[in-house]
Amino acid sequence: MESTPGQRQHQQSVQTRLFYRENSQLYGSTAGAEIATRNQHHNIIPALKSSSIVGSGKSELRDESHRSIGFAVLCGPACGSRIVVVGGPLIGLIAGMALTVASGPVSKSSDMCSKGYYILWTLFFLQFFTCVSCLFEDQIGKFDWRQRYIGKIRFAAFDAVSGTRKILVATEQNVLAALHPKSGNILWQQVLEKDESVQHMHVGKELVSVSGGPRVHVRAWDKTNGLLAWEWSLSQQQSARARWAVDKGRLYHVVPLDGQLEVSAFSLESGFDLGSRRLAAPWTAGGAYDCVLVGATVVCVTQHSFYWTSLADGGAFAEVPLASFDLTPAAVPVLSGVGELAFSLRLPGKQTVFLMGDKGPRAIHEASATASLLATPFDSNIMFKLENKPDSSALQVSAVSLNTGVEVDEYSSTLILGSKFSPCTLTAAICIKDECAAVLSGDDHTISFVNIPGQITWTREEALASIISTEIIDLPVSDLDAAIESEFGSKQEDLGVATGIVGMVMRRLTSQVMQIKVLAQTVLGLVQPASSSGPSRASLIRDTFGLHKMIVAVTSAGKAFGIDNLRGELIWQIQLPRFAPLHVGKSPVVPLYVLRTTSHVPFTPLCAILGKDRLTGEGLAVAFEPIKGLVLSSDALGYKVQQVMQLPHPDDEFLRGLVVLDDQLKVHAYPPESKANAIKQAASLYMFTTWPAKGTFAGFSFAHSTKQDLVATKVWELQLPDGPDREVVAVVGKNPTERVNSQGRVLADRSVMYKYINPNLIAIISQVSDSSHKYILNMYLVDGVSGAVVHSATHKRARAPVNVVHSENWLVYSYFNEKMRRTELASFELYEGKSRSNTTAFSSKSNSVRPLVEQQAYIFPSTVDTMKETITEKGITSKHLIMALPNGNILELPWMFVDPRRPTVQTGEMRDEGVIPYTPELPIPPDAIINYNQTVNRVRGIHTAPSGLESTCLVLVYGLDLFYIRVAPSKAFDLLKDDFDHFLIAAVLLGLVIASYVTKKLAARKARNQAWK
Amino acid sequence: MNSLSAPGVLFGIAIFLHASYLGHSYLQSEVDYDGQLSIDLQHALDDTPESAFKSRGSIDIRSIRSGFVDIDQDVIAPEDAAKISALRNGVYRLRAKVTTGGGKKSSFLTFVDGCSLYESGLSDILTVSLDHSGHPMAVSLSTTKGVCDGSPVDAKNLRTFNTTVLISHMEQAPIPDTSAYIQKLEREKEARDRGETKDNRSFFAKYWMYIVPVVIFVLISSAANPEGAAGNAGGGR
Repeated sequence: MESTPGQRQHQQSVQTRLFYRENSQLYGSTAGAEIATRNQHHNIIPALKSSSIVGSGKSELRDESHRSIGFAVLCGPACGSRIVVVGGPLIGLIAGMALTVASGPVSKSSDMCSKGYYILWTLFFLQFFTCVSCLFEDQIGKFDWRQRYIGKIRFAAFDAVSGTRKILVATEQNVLAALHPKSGNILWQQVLEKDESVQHMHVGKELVSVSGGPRVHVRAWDKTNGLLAWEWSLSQQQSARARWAVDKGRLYHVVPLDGQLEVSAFSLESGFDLGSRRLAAPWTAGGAYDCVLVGATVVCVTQHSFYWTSLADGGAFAEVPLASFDLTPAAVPVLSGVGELAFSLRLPGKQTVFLMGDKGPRAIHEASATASLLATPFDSNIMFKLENKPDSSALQVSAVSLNTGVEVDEYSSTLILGSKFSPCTLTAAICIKDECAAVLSGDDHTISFVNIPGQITWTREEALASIISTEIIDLPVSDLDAAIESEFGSKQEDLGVATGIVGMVMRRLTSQVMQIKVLAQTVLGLVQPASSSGPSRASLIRDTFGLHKMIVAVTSAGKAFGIDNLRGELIWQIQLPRFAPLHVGKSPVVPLYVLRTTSHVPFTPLCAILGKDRLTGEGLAVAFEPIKGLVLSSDALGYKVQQVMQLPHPDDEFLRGLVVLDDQLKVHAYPPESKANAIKQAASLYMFTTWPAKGTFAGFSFAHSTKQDLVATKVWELQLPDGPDREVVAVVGKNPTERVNSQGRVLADRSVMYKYINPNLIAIISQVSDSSHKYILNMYLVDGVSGAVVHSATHKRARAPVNVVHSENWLVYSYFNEKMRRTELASFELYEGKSRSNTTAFSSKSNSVRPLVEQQAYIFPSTVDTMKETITEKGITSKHLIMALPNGNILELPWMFVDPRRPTVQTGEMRDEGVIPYTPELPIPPDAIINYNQTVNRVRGIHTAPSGLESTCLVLVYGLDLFYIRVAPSKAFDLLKDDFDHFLIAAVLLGLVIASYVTKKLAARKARNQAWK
Repeated sequence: MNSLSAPGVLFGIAIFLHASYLGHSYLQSEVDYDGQLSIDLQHALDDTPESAFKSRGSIDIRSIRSGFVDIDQDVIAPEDAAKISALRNGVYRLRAKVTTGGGKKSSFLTFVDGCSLYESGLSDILTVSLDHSGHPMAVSLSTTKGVCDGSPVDAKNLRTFNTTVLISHMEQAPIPDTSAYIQKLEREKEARDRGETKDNRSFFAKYWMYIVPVVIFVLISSAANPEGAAGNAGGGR
């Protein structure tokens, strides 16, 4: 289904990009030109005002093969948009070429503008800021990858009838898909409504799904390609005990009512109501019963008896006492379906399998209570039995003949899973001519395919469809670099010993002896190679540009993964069986912190996640090594977590511990040994926490901590006024790793507007109902240390969904405008003014400046699922917003488009400043969609991380699918293009050298000849 | 980030555990009929976790629109003044219990560094932030002295608080300015139309600045290369 429109879209996108290629050549496509254009429109360097030669952004120019070929010094408007280049003659040549190309169009465009061609002017800007995502056909998949997931299996079935064999599944994420039985790849996939679930799946001529909440959708899908064949819907009251069944072209719906069972029948294809009947069932009154549909027979069980009747003919219930099967009555009997013909009754300690015949249920087999049972369809008459053996980390599969009830030995096998073990259930099984296969669904959301007898052929890690938090971590340096690091980067006390020339020489000699020893050992093969399981350690080494990193992802399925960011392969996974996420409101959160980065050899890198125990609900902290995926400790905290933050400064061992506030407002350190470090920093440590349901926000100081204990004292508290349906919809701080390079914005008159950069600023957005305006959305900017309200604004007739991006000195959020029925973006920017209150460092407590606020709103032509800002290492590169749209597109929108200073009437000054004129509606240009035709379904979060290159930001989009890409918001100004023509440059240089020699010779000869005359 | 003056605060994610919702109560807008607020101030003069708050005085805001205030604060007893000067290394905390004109009560807590309060000579600024309906959502304290420099203060400046009350209303958030944009487009269109009707000069009058250079260029090039031009002319015959 996806293929035809997908291909078309793809072709279009390639065409657009080719168009851009032509244009970019027009404007100069070499690296140098990009620097010039970028700087022209981003007056990022206030320092330039005073000195005309200084550059603030020094960028190394490097080519793709990691060679440094020179340095370019960026320069702002003060030196007239020129690039000053130092370095070899090669670079001078490139820059010269670039300048001649770049300067022409720039001056031309300002002429245009003075004549009032605003549209051309805007197009000119669009040109610059959207062709960032230009992609040629051969670059598809070079910088990005996508992985598709479907979620945990709810229903599964084999399709052996139609042409190719496939596994049809319906999942808890409300996705229908067909999987290839050999590889596990998705053949087709249909993502149904969000926040609903599949209630029933039936595989016949077509795949029939029953899904939805109060409004139930019955749909049929073509099994081969997943196209919708027909669809109808009905309204039904919701009941957890409602059951669906499809039999002979009819859809039955069984709902228990008071003392009755209502059976409604519908024509499957047309949805025609065939009427409903109420069957007297007085035994349902107490609620202690369970029902299951076996084919078209409804079977119920109470404490004492079975009741069954056929849905088709609709007779009264027949009763069979449990005692007739020699079963002792139990309080809460549980029934579960075992294929189309059989069901099982689970009693404490055991379960009994019954075959449903014309004369009622017939007991055929007994199994343990925990076993998972499933009968294969068609005539094979075999039932598979799966038993989990946690002690030996294995699964035991055996088969039972439905005719005789005896185990069939030839099908029994033991699957040893080892560390990946998680309890599994059978979801689908099939036997074709003595060859059997089954699909297992694990508690950790895995989907496994088993050949019976045999082993697991493939496993899909569907836990990745429910990622909650992610972190992108640097890889460790290579062993050689590590040796050098440990030589120079020792601890302070060691340095104290080795002072003076003699000491340094000794250190040098010892370390070189060590290096020789390591070399000798390696050459002689004495060093053990890295373990063969998984990718070798050699490949997981930091590269020159810092583009190769490790993605750590924590899922709600109690599993964490390490993913290589270049190709997306899973490096490690860890099982956290008791781990469950914390909750803020309804949304799950797992705080994930990097306690120690990989840069501190020989200390092991360390990450920590906080959650709660699945059973007790108390806090659970897990510390693990993020490169190899080793769980180092899993600690039950013994209290409920209210708030957690990371210490700003590391201790002697480079460990930045966590400070955890519990629900009794007591303070704990994690790991416990970082307590001393926390106490040392306590005097300047503040914590902010919120109780969204109460609308209370409070700040705590740790200044009262003693030498033994951390003590939190509440120093400020805010209380949102009570209102009808008051709801705190967002509390967003800034990224703690963010760096702001430019402290101000240069205005057209060469004066500087200083930014109000408060790292402790928090944006709070609350929604209340109101009689006259229906909904009101309030935005507060609160200082997290002092508790001062820096700014507040109110939207009338606006409501959630709200997505907030808070960075540097600006805030952008999307909301829904009730009055105009559209999504809008509000943009705020804070400035201190023309002078700075504090030039050295920011302090929330001594800063009582009320910032100047610039604000503007824009219409956004789509709703927004989630958004995030790009982040780079030094913060020189301009910021873009990465927005996930509900249609599966990922949009990269330059922040410049939502700049609140965009003027309605373009004056000359504003033009000099490089601000685009105001247009109320923001564009969604197709070439700004960074995932081109690779739809990313149901995005829940976007994670951005800086790379080693200043120009490049790494983006991971997660939701049902995973999508990773590198973006360069100001274009790859510090990286030469792939198609950079080294040969041509070298040839030209060589030619020039030869030519100069030849002409020198010629000139000399001519001079000699003239002298002879 | 500097460690001393910029308190390193990292905000994790808050987790709510107390789900006690305080019930629905419809609020009447206090701004519409110019509400009043009375604030009861209590301060903690001991810098300990469990210090007791004692009364400091009260502030009556008669009109939240005009900002007319009545400040009634007690004279500070000498032992309290000594405590305040002893607070120089700690924090001074203030609790504000606000009662609105409608009788709704709420309590806020705020603080400043003890040294800045001391060095400012007890000149403090109390900011009352109101939400869209005129109900208070925050009371925050600051002083006229931003950064402490350790300067001594005369004891007579520590007798009374010199309080300034600021009332901060909520601002109207921006809305997309479509009308101004459409007007701008219309103005431009008008200007263009007007320009087109007015400019009825002849072709040469309009484009002489382009034509003249071309002509000059042609003349110069033909003058510089007379043989070529002549040769061409000869070939034509």
